[in-house]
Amino acid sequence: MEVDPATGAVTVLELAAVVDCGTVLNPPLAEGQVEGAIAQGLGMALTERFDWRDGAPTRPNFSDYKLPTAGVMPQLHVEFADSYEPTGPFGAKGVGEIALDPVPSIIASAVADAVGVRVHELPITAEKIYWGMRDEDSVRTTSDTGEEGDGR
Amino acid sequence: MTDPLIPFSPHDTHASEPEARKVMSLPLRFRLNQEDVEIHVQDPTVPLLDVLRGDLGLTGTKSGCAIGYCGACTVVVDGEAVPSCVQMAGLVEGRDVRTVEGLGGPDGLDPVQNAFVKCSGLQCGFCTPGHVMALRALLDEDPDPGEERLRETVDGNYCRCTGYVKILDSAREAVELERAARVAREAR
Repeated sequence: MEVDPATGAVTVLELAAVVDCGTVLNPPLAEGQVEGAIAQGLGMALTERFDWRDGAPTRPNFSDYKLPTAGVMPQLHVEFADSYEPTGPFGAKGVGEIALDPVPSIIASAVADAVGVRVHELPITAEKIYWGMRDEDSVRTTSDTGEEGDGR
Repeated sequence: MTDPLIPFSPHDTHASEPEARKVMSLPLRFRLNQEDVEIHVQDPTVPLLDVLRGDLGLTGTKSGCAIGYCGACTVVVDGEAVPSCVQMAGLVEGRDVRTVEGLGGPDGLDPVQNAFVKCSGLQCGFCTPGHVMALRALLDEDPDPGEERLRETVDGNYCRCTGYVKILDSAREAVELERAARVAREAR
């Protein structure tokens, strides 16, 4: 992952997911589920801000509510753990959402590792990173978190 | 309060009556999936999408965002992929429109469709007709687009399920299947 120090813009280059979903029954579809979950996780982490006023969403269309597109998708590596779930059908577990939830936290950690800004609220927009890099108070440097940063 | 000299006014409450509809309906002729069609529309500014789905019953073309962002409603007009939700129906008069229903035939599916089946390039399937038509238009224009152009084309359509990986695989496979189909045609 790269962060532009001038703007705070995040470019995710490569992402690997290893998933324990029990026995994989349909490998291409299971991979698709994980890849789709990562895409949704990237949206949740970086661009999809959902809030509302007077009970109505303030970003009711795709010009304001940015979904990830093919152009921003990183190179993905998906692997499955060799596992068996005795209570599931044919040893399987669910696969849909499990790859989604870790994505915002790994992006947040990667941003902290890269530029020393720990953002505590989703989405982690370029603006938050930009101001984080310039405001000493909001920055928890990598030495505070014990993380080593090398800008990447 | 109706003026007898003006048989119809857009503000007339009777505008939706069948009589008034006949007065307002305008003929619209275009070529749709290799066949000439002539229909009557009340309002030529309605989206082509509504004409395709409503008047012509071709529900393969999907309505996603209806403002031209998501690409689910993509159809091919004169060889160009356009979002049919922001294409005025009146402007396709005399033009050539292709929808997902026009792909494939008795010999089987279109190479692009086969590629999506082969590579599991779909999950819920709602965005698939849009992706298929966008790639169809690209391959008609350039049978051997590079990785860059394939990515650009897929980039124009949203997909919430697949994360685009398998859609891009399908796009690359479509190029190969298209080439194989062309070679087979030439050998015949």
